[in-house]
Amino acid sequence: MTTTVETAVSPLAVPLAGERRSGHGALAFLVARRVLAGVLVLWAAITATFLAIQLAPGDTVSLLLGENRDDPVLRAQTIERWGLNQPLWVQYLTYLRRIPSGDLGISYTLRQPVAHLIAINAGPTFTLAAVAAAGAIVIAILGALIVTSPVHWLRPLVSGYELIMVSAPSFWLAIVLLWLFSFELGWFSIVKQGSWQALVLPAASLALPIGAYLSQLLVSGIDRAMEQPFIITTRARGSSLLAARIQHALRHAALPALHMLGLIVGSLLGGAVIVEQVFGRVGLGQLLVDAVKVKDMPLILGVTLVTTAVFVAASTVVDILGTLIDPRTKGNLR
Amino acid sequence: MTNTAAPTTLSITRRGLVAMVLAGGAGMALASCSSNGGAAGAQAAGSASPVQGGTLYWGVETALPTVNPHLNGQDKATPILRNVFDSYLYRQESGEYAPWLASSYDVSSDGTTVTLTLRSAVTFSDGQPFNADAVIANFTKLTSKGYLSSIPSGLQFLTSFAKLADDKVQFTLSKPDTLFLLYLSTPASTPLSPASLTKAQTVLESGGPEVAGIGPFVITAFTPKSELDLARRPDYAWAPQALAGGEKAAYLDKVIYRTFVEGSTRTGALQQDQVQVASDIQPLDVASFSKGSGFAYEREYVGGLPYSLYLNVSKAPFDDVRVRKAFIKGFDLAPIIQSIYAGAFDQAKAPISTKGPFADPSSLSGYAVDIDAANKLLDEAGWTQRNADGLRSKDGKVLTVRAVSSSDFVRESRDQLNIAIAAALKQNVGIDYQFQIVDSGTESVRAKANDYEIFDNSYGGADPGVGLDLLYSSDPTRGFIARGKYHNPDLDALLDKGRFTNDLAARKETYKDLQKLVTDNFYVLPLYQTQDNLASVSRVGGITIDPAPGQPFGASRVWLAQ
Repeated sequence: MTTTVETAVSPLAVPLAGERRSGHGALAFLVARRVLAGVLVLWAAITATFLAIQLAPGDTVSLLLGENRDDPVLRAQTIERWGLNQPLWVQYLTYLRRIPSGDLGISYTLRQPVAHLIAINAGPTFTLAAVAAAGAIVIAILGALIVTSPVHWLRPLVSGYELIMVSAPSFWLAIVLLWLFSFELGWFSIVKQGSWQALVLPAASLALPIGAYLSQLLVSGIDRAMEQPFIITTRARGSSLLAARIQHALRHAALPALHMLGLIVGSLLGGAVIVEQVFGRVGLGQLLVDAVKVKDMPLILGVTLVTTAVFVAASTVVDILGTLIDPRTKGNLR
Repeated sequence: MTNTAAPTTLSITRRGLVAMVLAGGAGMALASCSSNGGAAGAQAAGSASPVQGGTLYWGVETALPTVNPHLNGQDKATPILRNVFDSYLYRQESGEYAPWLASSYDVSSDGTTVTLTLRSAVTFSDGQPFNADAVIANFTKLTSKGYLSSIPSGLQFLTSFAKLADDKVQFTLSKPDTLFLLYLSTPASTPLSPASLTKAQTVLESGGPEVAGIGPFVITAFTPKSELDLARRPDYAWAPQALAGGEKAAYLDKVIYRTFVEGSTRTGALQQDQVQVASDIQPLDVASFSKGSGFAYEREYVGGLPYSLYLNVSKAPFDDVRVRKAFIKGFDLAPIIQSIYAGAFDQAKAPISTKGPFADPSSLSGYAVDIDAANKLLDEAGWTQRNADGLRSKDGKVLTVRAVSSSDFVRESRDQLNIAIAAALKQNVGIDYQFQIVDSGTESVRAKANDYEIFDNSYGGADPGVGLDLLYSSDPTRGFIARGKYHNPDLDALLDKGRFTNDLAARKETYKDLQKLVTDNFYVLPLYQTQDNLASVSRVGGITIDPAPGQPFGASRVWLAQ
């Protein structure tokens, strides 16, 4: 999960020649190292989650049975059915042993295999996260170009808007968008799951604040890059100001924003919880929250596993992309 | 074929959210008291002729973890599952039972033998015949260990069951338990096709398209906690005579139930006609659907027990009846209910819901506000000191009483209601009432440790017998949420007397005595009458309420004008 932040903050540092590896070798090394580290991260996440669930108040049987928790017969049957009478370390090791075969157990509450539940819930969540991330990138680039444009009166307007977006709580933004564009204007019906109309507002709820945040990062990067000597060189070669900004300064500024986007994948998955609830969307976030409330262990661990894996994969991809945008950072891949 | 029944009880399904919905008053049932906005749905149905076809979206708060009717156990799931699963008997508002999938039923004079004669020429939606063999297969499954079926107490005294003929099944009970007849009228006992019962455990237990029942709709898709898609069953012809007029297939081609846990989302989606019906309208949103808004709003009291505070008599300070009496008489509930709910909810009138035949409003006559008397009682009980905040104390200990409520159950502005009550009690009589909202795990720990003085609960259902057992019985196999810990032999005797008979008149008398006993002892303070409500767009007609529980009777009579 380590994004190479030190690279990110000083993209203009000049690496010493000779420290670079060949492109393919570096990439293979990076991927291999990341896969190994990823497995460790997954194990740590599962173990920590398992322990945290044990430490939370209330025993699993009572939470599963709710009002009927004091029914002795039902208690005994429930304990037997889910193997809750086994020592914790046995439950833990059994769970770990089954993972490689893709067996994530059966949800105590939904009575279905966890792998199947994740399969039907992951699609909507990842679609939402991907569309939101794409939207955030577009918003960020447009915002940054407008703010750094010579049209100076636009800058405070866009900056002000971005400040509001970054500060607004996401559930508030979700509710405002829902009311305005779905319930007042009637543009986007949220009822038909899987339709593009039902995706627009939830994705916008996530994309607007993230896009604004990334835009602020880009702007400071562009401002810094535009002061560099190479911009003057570029301009001297006849490049227009706009072309200099897009072709050179933006590329320099993109690196910190890109690394931040890697971290933001995590917040996209987390933010999806609130958005899913407000818009009544099916998805991993809602699945996890409900599971935690009743200590539905197989479901909690299953969702943790998948979301952690996605996060690890995303930060790896971001690092690889970083080398494509700025070849100088290859040296940092070790 | 004979089988021994395991005493089975409520739902195993996760009780986090579910339990809250269940226990809570949120809604058990809509029945027939239509309100201010009033009766518009039902009236619209009467004033125009039904239209065949169409797809209806119905927004609900209830998130369904499973749609296996044997296992679900959520009260609020009943109006949804009713679309797909008929019952053997149909319970009427009077408390009597009418034929449904059983064309007749016979109870022996001692009440311990129940014989069902099955309706002929009925088929499950997968084409299998409905007969005695199918019923036996279902009860074999329902009573098998490991099939964690859900409804409270229904099967508790069932000892055996046997096929008498192709269309006759006999059940033998160890006690003349009236809750067995109730069980036969709920989705918890509904027959599933024998082929469905033999499917893989996860398929059967989660329910869905592969599990066939008998009903006006079939399930075409199910996404847990999110969406249930239903399609009309064209050859359906077995609706209960008493309610739907019998023998009717549904009007709508498709019904899609969508879960929106946010109340404002349901309201907004209805206003834009994204859903055509929305259940569980929040108190503050009710005004949006008042007369002239173009929407129909109706609400129904639900059966069972209203939202009430049960006082824990097992320890100080409520082991002293004077303190209980002072708590109950020390503030005026009516203006608080009015200011919190503005007419959207009504004050409870008895310890049993006024829906159904059992409520006795006269039992609350001793509950009239009397602040002076309350203060005097507390003085007598020794709570004479006052601290800087004006709170009473004794031997340096403040007169604090705490309700510990799981956040899953805190709905319908219950937090505001209890906080308002606390403010009044503090001001009037110096009692420190704390309404503590905690997570469900903490709640279970506090309950087990007897670390609370008040238990707040509402318990819905067509018959109050279920909730009364759960909340008052000192029998550990029956009083699972009897957190008042009353241990009163007279009360237990009345619970038995009310449950182990099918004589309706006798049960009314018994429950009258019971309501007097629990109020004479100041065990319980009923706060508001629980209800179900819904709103619909004007082109919806035919919304039908099942009058015993007070919930919508599915969507089988509903139609949509073009």
